[in-house]
Amino acid sequence: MSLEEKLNRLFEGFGYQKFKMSKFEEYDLYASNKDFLTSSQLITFTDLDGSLLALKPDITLSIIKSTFEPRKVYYNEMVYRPKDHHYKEIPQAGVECIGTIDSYQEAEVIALAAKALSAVDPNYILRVSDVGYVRTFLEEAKVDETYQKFILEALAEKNADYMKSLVKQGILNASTGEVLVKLVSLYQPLRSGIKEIRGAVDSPACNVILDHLQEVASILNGFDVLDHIYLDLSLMNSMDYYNGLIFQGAVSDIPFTVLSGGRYDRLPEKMGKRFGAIGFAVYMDVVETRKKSRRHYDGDLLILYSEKDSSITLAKVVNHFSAQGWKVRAERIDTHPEEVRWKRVMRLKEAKKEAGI
Amino acid sequence: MINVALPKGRLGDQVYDILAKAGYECPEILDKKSRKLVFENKERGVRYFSVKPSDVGVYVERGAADVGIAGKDILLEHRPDVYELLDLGIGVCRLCIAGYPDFYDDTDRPLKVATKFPHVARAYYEEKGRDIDIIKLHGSIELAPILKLSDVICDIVETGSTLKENNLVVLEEVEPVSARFIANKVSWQFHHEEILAMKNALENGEAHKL
Repeated sequence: MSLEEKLNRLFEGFGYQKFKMSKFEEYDLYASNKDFLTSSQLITFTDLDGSLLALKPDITLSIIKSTFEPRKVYYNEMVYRPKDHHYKEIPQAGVECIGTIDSYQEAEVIALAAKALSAVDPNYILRVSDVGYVRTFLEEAKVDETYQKFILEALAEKNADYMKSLVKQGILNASTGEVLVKLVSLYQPLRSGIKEIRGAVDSPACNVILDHLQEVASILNGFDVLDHIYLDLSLMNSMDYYNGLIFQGAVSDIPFTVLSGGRYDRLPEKMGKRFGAIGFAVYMDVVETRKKSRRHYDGDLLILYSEKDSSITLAKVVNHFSAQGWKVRAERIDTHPEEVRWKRVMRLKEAKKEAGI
Repeated sequence: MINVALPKGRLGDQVYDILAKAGYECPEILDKKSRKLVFENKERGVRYFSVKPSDVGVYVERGAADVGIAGKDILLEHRPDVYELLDLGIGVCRLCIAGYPDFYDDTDRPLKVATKFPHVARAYYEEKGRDIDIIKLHGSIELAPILKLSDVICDIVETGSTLKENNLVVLEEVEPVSARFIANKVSWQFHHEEILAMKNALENGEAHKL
């Protein structure tokens, strides 16, 4: 079963319905929701009636646009985005849960993310955070707003020395600096992580966020995925898009993030819809960059024949190997392709002998 | 096994010395006659390779190396998506704008800036709202203002002696630079203990005193 099929089956098993859409979308949708796109560069073109269209750079916007009541959907689509200075067609799979989002729904989506990662590779880690936590902490500590942006950047880079330098310069007080250094290095299984940070930060507003994470952790335990879930409050997805819970997934043999998602109530709100939303995307293109190539051959057997050989014998031999599940190809000896790699190459005579015909 | 990308040259040698003292030794690496590119100490679970300093970020970002040592100048210029775990406090210098002492910025026309660091220069002047014309060079940057190729240069200044010899001075400081210990974001999760141990070894290895 291909990964795509595995994911489809997984999502359907939790009642998610497939969302199919056209490659085209009205340009207006993206123009009026730029904040929710990773890049404002789009492939645009004019339709026959003069309206402006774009090749979709994102699936979530289209799903929210066409949603009028609570729904759970999954997709397997291409998106068109700039990458390394060129437009690329990028395969993406994901789910969106739209409606009244309570802790159960959040945990269900995170559990689906964990199970999706496990389908990529059982050795996976899903890091969870709440974008509100650090914000709340910085507000409560009355950190100068001009520095908040730099602090968030340094946090995302896990740059503890920057925090220490702000303390040295007198911009942060020592205890705030200490907590930020702790947030940089904090990386623990969800439950023990929550306990650890609770002990380090004495703030009721921050604790409300931790209580919520604690509740989600208990539900995740019910889904039997908690072991792979870690707390990392320095995690940043694009801040404008998400509010509340965010998460990112990785597997051991792919050096990049392969899954990312979170709560994004602002998008439906901006479109005038009265519900919340949480979802994630699996970067199928990144999954394909897996370090180890699994395939070393284009096929199992290349049978070479000449014009003197009997075509009927050839047919029987090819038929024999093909029926046994081999990838077999017959080519003329004088013109066979040289850039194709075969596990075995045989003259018809040898193949016939091996087939026992 | 942790793969370490070391920058070729003095900085790489210094960092190796600290790591070796902390128990991550691999004596083969000291044999300067050897043509080997990869050095391994299986017992200590560490493998080193020396690469061009400006490539360290690429090796680490793409996971060929789990960790590496790169100058802040390289990180600012190439912005690899990596964790910057530690300021080693060595390889200290400054990224500066330099030019003739009597330089006057004529704002009627774009400022011509010669540099090896086009992204850094662009970001710096964008912040100031100054329109510039970037001239990307690969070496001997000091030559540019002398031959009137550019008005100023944006370059690394260590002692300032090269500038002085060419009658140039530092006009503005863009950013202080030092060597950083960086890690691949996924390796950081899956080899957390090992990377943390190496970071602590570097932190306590008196790197600052070198």
